[in-house]
Amino acid sequence: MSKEERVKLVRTACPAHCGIDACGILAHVKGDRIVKLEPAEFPDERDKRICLRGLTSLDITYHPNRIKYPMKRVGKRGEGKFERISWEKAYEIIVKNFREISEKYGWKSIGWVLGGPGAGTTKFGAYLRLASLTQSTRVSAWGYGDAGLPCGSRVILGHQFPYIHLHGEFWQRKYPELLMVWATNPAESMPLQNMRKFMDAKEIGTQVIVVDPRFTVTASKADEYIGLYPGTDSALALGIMNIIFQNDLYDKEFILDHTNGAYLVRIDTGKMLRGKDFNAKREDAYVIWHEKSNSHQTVSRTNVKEANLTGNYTIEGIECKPALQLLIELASEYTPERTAEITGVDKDLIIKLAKRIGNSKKVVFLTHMGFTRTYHGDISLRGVISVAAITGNITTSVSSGYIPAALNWNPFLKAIPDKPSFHRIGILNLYDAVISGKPYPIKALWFAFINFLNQCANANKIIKEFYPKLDFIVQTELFMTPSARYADLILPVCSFFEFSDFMAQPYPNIQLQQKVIEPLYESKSDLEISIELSKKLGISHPMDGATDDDILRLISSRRSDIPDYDVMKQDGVLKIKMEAPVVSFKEQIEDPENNPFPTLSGKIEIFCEHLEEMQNPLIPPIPKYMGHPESYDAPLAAKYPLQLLTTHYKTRAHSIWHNVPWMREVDPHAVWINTSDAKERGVQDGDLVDVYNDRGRIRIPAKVTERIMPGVVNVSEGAWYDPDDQGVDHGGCANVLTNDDHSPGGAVHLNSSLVQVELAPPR
Amino acid sequence: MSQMGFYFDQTRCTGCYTCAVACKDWHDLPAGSVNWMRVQAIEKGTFPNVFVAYLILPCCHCENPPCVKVCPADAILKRESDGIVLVDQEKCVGQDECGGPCLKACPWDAPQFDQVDNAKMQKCNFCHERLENGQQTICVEACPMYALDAGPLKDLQAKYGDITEAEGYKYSEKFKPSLTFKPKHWDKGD
Repeated sequence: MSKEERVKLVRTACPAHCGIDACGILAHVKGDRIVKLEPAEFPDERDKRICLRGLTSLDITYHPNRIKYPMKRVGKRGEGKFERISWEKAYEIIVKNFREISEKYGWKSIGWVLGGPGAGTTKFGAYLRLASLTQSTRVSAWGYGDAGLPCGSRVILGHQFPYIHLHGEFWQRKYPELLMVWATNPAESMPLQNMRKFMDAKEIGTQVIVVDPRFTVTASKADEYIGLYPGTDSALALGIMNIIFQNDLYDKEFILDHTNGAYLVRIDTGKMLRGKDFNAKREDAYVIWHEKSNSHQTVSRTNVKEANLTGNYTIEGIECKPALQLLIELASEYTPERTAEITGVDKDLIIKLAKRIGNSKKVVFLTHMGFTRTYHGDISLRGVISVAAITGNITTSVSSGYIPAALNWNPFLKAIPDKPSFHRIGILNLYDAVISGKPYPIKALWFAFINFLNQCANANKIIKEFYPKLDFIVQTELFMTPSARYADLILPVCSFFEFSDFMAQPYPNIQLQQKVIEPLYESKSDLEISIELSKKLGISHPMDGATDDDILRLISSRRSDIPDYDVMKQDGVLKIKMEAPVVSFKEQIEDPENNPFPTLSGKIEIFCEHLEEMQNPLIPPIPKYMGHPESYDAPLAAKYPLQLLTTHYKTRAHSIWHNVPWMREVDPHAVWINTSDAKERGVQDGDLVDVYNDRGRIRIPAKVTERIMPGVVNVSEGAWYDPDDQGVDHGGCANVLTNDDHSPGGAVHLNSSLVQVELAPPR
Repeated sequence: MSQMGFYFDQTRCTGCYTCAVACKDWHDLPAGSVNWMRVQAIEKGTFPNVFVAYLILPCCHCENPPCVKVCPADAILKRESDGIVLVDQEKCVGQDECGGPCLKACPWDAPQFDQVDNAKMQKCNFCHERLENGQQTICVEACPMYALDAGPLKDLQAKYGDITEAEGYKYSEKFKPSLTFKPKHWDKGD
């Protein structure tokens, strides 16, 4: 009993970047040490959750290999030789380097590379503030893994983040008749926010179909599994649409009201027909073919009634077709036979799948970043959204419960009102900025909560071409990660039990990631580091000296949904009260008159005019399937015949938890290879194999399994890069093999690399 | 006596290992060979017609536990009050000494030995200390998928039914393990 008395319970939350899960954690504290963790309560008990990652967080906090004090590099970059220095000395080195570099190249040559924004509010804001005060460069990781999403969805729906919105009412526990889980594996990547609901939906009768090149855990729970070749999703989408059109299963009314499907497109120029093309009064108006009067009409956005969606028309000598007709024609090329050939999916299954989608009243398309991280991933996403659009499933699919509640960075961003803020470079363009100085040279980088070398494409290029161009590298870290080894200066940061922050998840809650123990060793929070550094740089600001608590209080005071910060702090979690569930695009669908979609036409763009204007055949206005330099039928496949996937893994959130022994023993890291491919190569389950291409070579055990498509292999991302003298990575870092190029529409194709597998040479 | 037992919903389990990790965390078990809760993956078929299921394996706290009978040191005890099977580490003479007949007798390999000299037997103790505090076992508490429950076996059977077998798990009429299942089976047909 006395043992009980000595234990204090503190509620906090796990901020690991597991998509949008964020588990509440109840920490048992004895003296100054956390001894155990349990799942914490939520206002709605159905939100109570934990996963194996959050549960083993103490193994990160109390890991013997934590970086304990600031360290300065003494050997060559990557050699791992460092010596202990004081914080004072560390700041001195930073200030000296920043001064020299900014005098020579300007402040904008200094960049802040920040990891996923799921990473929290204060620590993210800390650096945005510094970037803003110094007018240096913020390198945004947004768009790296998920570039295909904004590019794919912005043009069709006008909204960038469909992985938030495609989840639909699903997050509000309103389950549809049919759930299409397309290229995402929530059982491992989002176990709580999505997978638990997936299982609940199934139990009340939702039919679930999973589309994935792997027979994932999620697939194992589905009513139907569709295994397809990576990157062929748009072909499958077109094949599905073809059946839907042929069987007249499309929602004409929805298409007329909410999409630009009826607008006429000129055959000669490929552009949308406008009033001015034939000297009509309404010059900019779009034009339709009016069914009843059998004549063309210029229209405003909301009076597209009785328009023809199909056919071929001549207006004042200009040959035209409705946009939908173009989609129908494109889709008609994707017969079940041809679609089967491209995708590897059985043709009867394609027909069955299409009919099921077309005949279901309500379908939710649950998708995430799997296929948008393929070459032309943006087009794949547009394909899936097109299926949702022609079947009228946009409100159900593209609706949301997500509120970016506490991700309010304004207190940081408006560091100096009326002055320009920081410069921006997307992480996609960082390689060019560093290596070739375009659009401007970057000479120093500060990496915070990102394991850049390990988690960004083409590790060997980063080592050989990227790092050598940098004059100064700082890394704030908990561990000597592969990236930290290449830093000139390593600063020890707090684990999440050692500082406070807000988590905007899980919907509809805000949680406090509450400081449970004092920072261990000489570690500091990113906020503290940034504030101290700004003083050393001689930059003064009213927020100087602010603590986590001050900042969180400031953010709370500007929000109407956090009535009292102190109460929130005491409870650790706040369920946001909402008058009605937030459903995105609800207004656009229910009251289109007053609510255009944020696209050029104000409607869902089945035919995207902006893309047409770009005149780039690789970014067509209608989502068309195309191969690419590393697709399975590319010339390179003769040398490297296997398609590589780099999926998420249950024991890691990206590269976090890789070094926790408990995690290493459950389901050890391995390359998944189909039995037939393994046999061809003389590989047996558990054999050590090399996975390689022109970019590099990794050596890890093989998992020989029927759970992956023949011709496809999987190396889950996040295992730590660990090269030998020959540069062979024994850690199994997937990004040794990935391509840092990005596809024309912007998608980074971490899931589109060709590789070969062979038995490792005998030791 | 009210025999305690587990319920396992094989249709919901995603093989995430959270139960196994929660167990290790709560009972301070280091990484290594000792696992009071184990998770087994079962994979069958040929792509794309594949079947995957997971099975959890704690101690089944049998009604007639074979381990109790074979222990030469009488170190394994079945509690009268709730049927939980516990090992007295003070009494256990160690695996090198006795050869570990408890492990040989258990069809489910529940007895666990660390890889050290003369390791003493340890296994799932049904979180009896948590139960005494009115809490659930840590594996049930942690399961993200609500695939697990624990409590008096009669109550579990009343709530979930009394199916005694699941994919990968065979019931023993002789030992009467205290588990009830919602099994997942492979429906190969369309």
